[in-house]
Amino acid sequence: MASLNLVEAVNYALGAEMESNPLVVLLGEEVSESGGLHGAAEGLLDRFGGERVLEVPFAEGGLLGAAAGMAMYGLRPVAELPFAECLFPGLEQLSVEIARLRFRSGGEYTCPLVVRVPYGAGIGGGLDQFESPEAYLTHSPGLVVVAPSNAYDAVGLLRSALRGDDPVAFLEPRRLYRHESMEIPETDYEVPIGEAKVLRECDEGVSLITYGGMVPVSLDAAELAAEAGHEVEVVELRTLLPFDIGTVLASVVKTGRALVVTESRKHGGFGAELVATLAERALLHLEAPVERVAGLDAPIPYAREELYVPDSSRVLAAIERLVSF
Amino acid sequence: MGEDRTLTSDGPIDEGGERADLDAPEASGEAANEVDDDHSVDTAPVELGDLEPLIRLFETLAVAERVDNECQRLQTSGVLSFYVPGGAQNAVSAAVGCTLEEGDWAYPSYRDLAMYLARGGAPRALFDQLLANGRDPAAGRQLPGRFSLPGGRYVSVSGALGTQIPQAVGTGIAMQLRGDHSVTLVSFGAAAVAQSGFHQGMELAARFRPPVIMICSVAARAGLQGSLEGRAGGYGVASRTVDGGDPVAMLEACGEARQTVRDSGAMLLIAELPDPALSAAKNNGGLAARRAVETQLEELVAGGPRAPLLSERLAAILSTATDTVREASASAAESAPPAASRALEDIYGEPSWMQQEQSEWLA
Repeated sequence: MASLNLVEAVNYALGAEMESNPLVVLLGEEVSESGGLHGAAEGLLDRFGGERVLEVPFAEGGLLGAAAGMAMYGLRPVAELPFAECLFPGLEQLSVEIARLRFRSGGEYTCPLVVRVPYGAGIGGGLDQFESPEAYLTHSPGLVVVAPSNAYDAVGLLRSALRGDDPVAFLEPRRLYRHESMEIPETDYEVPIGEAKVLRECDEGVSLITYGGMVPVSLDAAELAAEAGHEVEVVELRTLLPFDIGTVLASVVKTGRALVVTESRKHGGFGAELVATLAERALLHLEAPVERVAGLDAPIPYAREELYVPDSSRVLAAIERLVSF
Repeated sequence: MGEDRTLTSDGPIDEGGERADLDAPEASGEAANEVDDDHSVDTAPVELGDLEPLIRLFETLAVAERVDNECQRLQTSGVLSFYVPGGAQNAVSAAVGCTLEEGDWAYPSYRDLAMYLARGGAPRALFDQLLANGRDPAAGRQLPGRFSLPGGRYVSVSGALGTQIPQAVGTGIAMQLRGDHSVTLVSFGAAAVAQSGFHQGMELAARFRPPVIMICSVAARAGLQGSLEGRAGGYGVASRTVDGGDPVAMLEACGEARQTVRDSGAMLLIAELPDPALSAAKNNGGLAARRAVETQLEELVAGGPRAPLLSERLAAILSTATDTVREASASAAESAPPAASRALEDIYGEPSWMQQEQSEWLA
């Protein structure tokens, strides 16, 4: 059992899967010698050689297109993007080609690959480096979208992604790469795609639904709320598409109050989808209007980044509004 | 040769100057017709040895030409809402398709119906796709002409320009990694050259040298600035320009390119299509391409004993092609549309709760 932080866990899971499955290859920009922009590929070139750790030109459409061609052929490519905004040059390949291939070919061709996307503000990435791009991805049927918040789930979800039949966008909250370490079992465990996890339970109070980089913020806020006498059940989605509607609804029906916490912009985002789902299916169980805590409807600034990213005080304020409604 | 013409022979002298024994069953073409024990007659066509590759090319072009004609008829009559004819590109597409071997992969463009046929696609399945009926494996999801060939390593055609180029290079790299000696072929038109996919594909091809033949069909008035050879050279990728109106030249060039990319990595094959305003391609590029092959075949057997055999064979091909396409079109038109449930299938390996739930909307 090793103690690993999130980026070490990604590196560990990649190495383990490449070890056990010769069809797994890694492609990315600067992934070979330097181990990638964030070190997630560190040491993999030495272990597996240049035939399985491929350094590609700085062109994300080419990176994802090549990964698609490899996946169609039968390999299990992992394409590493350096940061979230690099998704946009590759979005045609990911959303129009990769996500739709199974559908457009009647199931004859599939594209089982993993696209790793370091994302999220809070590290000084500025205006065009670390967006929260999940809304672009969750609007692409055919894609699976996951967002772990810790090392254990990162390992298990990456295994599931690499062993499944569908293309997976693997969102890695950049801010949490070295946030904390945890023990990773040596067993070959998987975290199933599509299963949320209840991180903190309660019978009455507020259901807080969140994922990725907002998980520690939400847990902090829940702790502060508990100190103030308010119970909070924290549901971490882990998979965004398809999200675990059963766990979400069960929690909200139980508590009667719902708070959705996302880092991405408030309007038109994935959080809005969660709120809409609750309005459709849990309205008669609600004791208060659903609350949202989200990023500002603005590009992410370099200076005063903290204004954009929700913090525990904003989340706590929303909890207090809910319980006092 | 039009369908109303018949190949003629100057006499029963073969190319070697020897008089053929016309009484021999091989020469009369009867050898291939064997009477089975049950007294049925197997009417397999006469094999013409070294001519077979060109005959296959001829046959592919003949069927493609008829598909084009039938689709234009269907479009005019309002049955088919959208169709991009193979036309002059049939020569390139058929030649490429006839060059591919079993393990090869093809990433076609939307004008590559001839490649689809050469790769083993049946006219009936082709019309099922064109008319988007329930027999189409892709359930009519794609625009007419964007075929997918089950089991044929003929990847479903995308409507996005140039996206197939880096994909093909990825497949070529995968072949390298797995020690597969097959090749990957990607076809695109001049319009894709300005797209990022072209440049990404070239950059990747230059870096990894995979066994990929990139075929760019360039219409005479495509309006490209500068040369494609120059673009390829800038990336350090070999290139060659071929007369795309000459399917025989294309067949030879593709065969050579196949060897080249296996030996030294990707290359760009530039197929210059004939100017439709100056050639027989004006009305039907596919007809011009087929006639070019026919002329070549005629020259190869001129004055020899195989001439009448060839004549019969080609006439039979044309007749069969006409019947086959007509039957395929009629059959496809009669077939029911795709079931509503197909709208939510083939999205994931296993349907998510969203698809399961929304299937009720379709009931």
